[in-house]
Amino acid sequence: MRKKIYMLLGVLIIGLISAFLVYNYVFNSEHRDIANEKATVSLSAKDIFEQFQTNEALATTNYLDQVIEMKGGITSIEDNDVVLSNGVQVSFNSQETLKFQKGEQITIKGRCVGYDELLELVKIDQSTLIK
Amino acid sequence: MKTTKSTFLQILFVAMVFITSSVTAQKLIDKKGKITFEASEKTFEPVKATNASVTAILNTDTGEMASLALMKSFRFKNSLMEEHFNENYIESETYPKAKFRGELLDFDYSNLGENTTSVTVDGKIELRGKEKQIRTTLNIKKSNGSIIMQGSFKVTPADFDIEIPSIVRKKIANEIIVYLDFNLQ
Repeated sequence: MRKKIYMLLGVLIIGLISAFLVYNYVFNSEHRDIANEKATVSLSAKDIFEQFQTNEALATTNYLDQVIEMKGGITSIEDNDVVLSNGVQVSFNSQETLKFQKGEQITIKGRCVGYDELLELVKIDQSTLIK
Repeated sequence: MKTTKSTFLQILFVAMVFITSSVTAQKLIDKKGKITFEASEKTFEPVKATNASVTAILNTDTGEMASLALMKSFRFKNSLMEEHFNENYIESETYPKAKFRGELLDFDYSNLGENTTSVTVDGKIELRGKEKQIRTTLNIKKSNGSIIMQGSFKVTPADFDIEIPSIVRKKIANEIIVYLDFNLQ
């Protein structure tokens, strides 16, 4: 009899713990860690900029929210941002831009958040330097 | 004689076009503007997100203004909320951005000083293919050659045809307050 009660208690506790874990997983899950995600595509900054300029809707479907690896020459530097090939604005998480120089070729990885037609720039956030 | 006169007029015309275009091109830009919206209800988890890479452009001669915010750049504290915002409410794959076009009324750049002045802005917000007229008062001042612009306005989900399911309706405020903070350089 006692054994049965212990077993029931055990099942109940395990049930409660797993319910809590599932709740926590669903409602308090961590944000995406872009730096540790694999890039789904790799292309040049010029290429992605041209794709957004020719067909924005299609490029949005293809690249929005995707982790992209991208190569390009730095055309301007501002705070935590650099512009690659005059067409892609790349925002870094940290002060990584301090060591960059204009004209330098870099490869980055980041998340595409869309096209800004006021500035005529494709925007990439949460970027990290690859090389 | 006639030919010299017409060449003279041509040169004058070109010169005038050149001068007027260089005078009217007075634009101040903010590439890292901030927009925060809040739709929190008391006792429930705060519904709040910030976009810290909003574009804003002001033409200081005419007072015309334009702004653009990418929806995916709105960051929530809670990742599930961010997912629901993008997938269920804003549908950011289909409508990736919000745009504002309008003008500052009775705006005179030369009169603007280091002290905060209230300026009325009037224009339209476009989001999810819908347009909504916005009129609000902004606090504007000059600071080290740039213009600081702050203010807020209210919108409702219905303004942009956003349906809030009844199961979460109590947790999301009916009126959403949008705060803006621009530093135009």
